[in-house]
Amino acid sequence: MRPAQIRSYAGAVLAAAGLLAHSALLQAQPRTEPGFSVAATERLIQAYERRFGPPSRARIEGWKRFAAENRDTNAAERALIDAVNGFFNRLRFVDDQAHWGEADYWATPAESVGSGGADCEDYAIAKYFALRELGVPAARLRMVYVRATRLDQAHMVLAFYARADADPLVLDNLEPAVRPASQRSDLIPVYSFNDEAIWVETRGRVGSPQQIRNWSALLERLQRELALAGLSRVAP
Amino acid sequence: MTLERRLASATSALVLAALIGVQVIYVRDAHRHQQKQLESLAQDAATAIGLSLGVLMRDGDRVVAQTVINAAFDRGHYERIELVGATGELLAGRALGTLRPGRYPAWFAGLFRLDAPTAESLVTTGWRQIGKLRVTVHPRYAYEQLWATARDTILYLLVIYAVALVLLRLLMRGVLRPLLAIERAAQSVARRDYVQIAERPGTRELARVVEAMNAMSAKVAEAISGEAARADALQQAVQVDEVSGLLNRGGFTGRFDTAYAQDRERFDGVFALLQFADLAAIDRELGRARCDEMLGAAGRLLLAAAAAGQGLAGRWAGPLFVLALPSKGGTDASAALDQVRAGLEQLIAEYGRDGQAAVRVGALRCTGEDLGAEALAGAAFDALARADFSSGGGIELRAPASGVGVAPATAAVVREALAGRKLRLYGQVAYSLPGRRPLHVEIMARIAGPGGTVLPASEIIPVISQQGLARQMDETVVESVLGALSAAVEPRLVAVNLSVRSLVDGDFIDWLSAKLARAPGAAGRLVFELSEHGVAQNEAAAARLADVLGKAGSAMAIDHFGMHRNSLAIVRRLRPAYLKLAALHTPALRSDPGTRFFVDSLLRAARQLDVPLIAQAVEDAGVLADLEALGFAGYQGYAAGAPAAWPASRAS
Repeated sequence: MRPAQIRSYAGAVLAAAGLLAHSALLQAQPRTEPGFSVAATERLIQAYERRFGPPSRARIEGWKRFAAENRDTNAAERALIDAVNGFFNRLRFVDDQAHWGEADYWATPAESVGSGGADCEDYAIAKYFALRELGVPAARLRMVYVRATRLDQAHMVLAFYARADADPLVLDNLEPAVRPASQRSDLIPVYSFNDEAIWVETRGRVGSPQQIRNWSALLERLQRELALAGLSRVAP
Repeated sequence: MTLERRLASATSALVLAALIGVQVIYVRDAHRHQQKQLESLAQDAATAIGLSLGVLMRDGDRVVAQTVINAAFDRGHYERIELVGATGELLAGRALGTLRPGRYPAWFAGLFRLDAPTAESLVTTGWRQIGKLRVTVHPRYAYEQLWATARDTILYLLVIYAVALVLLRLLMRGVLRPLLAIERAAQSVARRDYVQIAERPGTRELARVVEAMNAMSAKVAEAISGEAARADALQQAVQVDEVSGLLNRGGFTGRFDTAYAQDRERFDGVFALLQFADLAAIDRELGRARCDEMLGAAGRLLLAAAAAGQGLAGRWAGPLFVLALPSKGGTDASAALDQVRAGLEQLIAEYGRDGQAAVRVGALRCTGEDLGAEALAGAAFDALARADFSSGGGIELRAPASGVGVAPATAAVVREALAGRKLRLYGQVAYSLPGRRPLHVEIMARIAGPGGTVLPASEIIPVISQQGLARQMDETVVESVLGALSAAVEPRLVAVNLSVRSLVDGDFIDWLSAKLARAPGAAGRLVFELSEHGVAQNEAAAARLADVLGKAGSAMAIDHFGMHRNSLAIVRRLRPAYLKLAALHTPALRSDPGTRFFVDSLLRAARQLDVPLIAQAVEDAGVLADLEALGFAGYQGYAAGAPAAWPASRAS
């Protein structure tokens, strides 16, 4: 998240806090980043129970537990990456058309976990947000458009760069194990991005990445989730 | 401000505001759109160039990177394209130097600021990160687009505005035209002119107003017309001889004196008395009805003769008829009178009587003597007496009696006085009834003779009419009065008489207009009196004079009123400030019930028209209560005092 973004959101939160000061309960409203497991409040869980069926509760609660357990451990970065990769790879692969009724749908982590299914972008997105929630800086993560030569189709994976010039680790739903990119000759990388590099900056302010249509739609859905969860957004 | 102007300005302001609103919304929208376009251009370029670099920079070749960036930079509207390495060092890039000014004004760019957006994309070859590509788009092209849009829409909206104004005006005209007619009618009614509104408005509310106003106007106009018709009928009874249809003695005298004595019209012709030698015998023989019929025919014959000579005809008494032909002199006069006499004799013959020597004529050649009808009739009687005994066709035409004509010495005095502007002005005050407050001072001009004694009007007027000095006299009086008013020695309104000669002289009206324009303060306190005779004869000229006086702030009034038929119709058209009743009616008011009825009717009609009527020649203060009861608005005459030197300071 950019500092400017932080400032504007902080302003909004201050205003909201001013309004809430009236309340006799003076109950501080829980606040969080969209896409993080802590955003899955009871209200959201109930909403997704209605949407995806009763089993979604156990799946989302499992995700929250997983995040909580890993947030407070001092596990090595590599172990964390393996854990996250393993956790989300348990989701069933479902084609977007069959899953969401759309040719290309970028689901939020809560949607993927709640519905129990994902396609390649959904895996990458869920892993990206999970790693960020667990303290990995966005600058070291890349969503990478790749060509999967074995399947001979367009695919997306998450890459972790320990350093800018390092051989990245590839988190892929096609492979249970996280392996360095140099060992993934079955993947030809084409283009990569993270949500730091898709914002247009105008007059020192960060505008909307309206041209990356799927990313914009994903952000909107994340915001809706926050509202559904009864949360407001704030810097982590 | 008129309703039309108020509506027009309000609606055009609204239309303008709406159009400005449209323009602002449109340009703001276009501005937002351009900004989004710039951002999306930045992002698209960053993505596309980033992708290309990823493919082309397999071995980190900076030259390739620079070439790709050059190609993209030169083809687009970019401010800067940079490839930055992972540690922040610049690998390749281009930036704009100084730029030629865009085709848009600087203030416009200040008003609608477009920001240069920067977009990034990550550049990787394979899994290896090369760096970040940063693309900043230059907004100049967008400014040019936005400026062109703004300019074009302003032009279109101005055209729309102009068309809307024209349509609005046409619409407003259509809707408000009936209202204008109503306003005009209301103004007319305020002036007691009860007109009808011809146009029936389509709007229901206006149509109701028009109906109501028309009905009210029609009713009042009918009442006034009724009163005017009654006054006319009563005037006929007082001034016209029923049998012959000619003016009776009073009517003739009044009309004649107004025209030639008071109005100073030129008289250079004959004044004749015609007598039926034995009317009593004719009456006996033919019977009353046939005799009256014959007299009616005689009246028509005399009227025709008078009309041909632009004169007057009347029945003086019983068998005596009077004919005044103002411009027939010498043999012309003899021939004309002979023709009339022969016509009358033939008429008598037609009724089965011997026409031979049945009509006698006593005529007087007049060339500017004292032109009182009664005096002339007296002299004509002498001639008639001689004609009685003469055998020359029964006509006795007398040359002007020596000593009665204009004395050359008097003429010289008058000319000199006018040339030297040495007039003696006198003022007689007209007072209101009731209240007896001063209404105005009527100015009378006199001339002093050689010994310092003031010459009587009867000596001056013939000179003025005979020598054509009427206009000069009027001009001299107007100048003297304006001078006195400018010196601020007269607080009251001042009435000045104008002769009919001046009235028909277009140059004089222009002269007067210019004079009054130069003295606006004095002009506002002046009333110009014209005789009813002059106005009736020259209504168009009188209307023009009234218009000129109105514009100058002065007023017009009618003097010697009540001598002509239909004079109330003229009052309705000209709207004089007041009317002065002809002097001859004043004594008759008490003695003659006919005159009293007639004047009462005049007063009622004048009241309806809101024009005050003032009695003249009121000699006896005892009649004032009676005049007030009748409804006179004022009076003038010796009862209120003799004319005094005017202005007062000059007298002392």
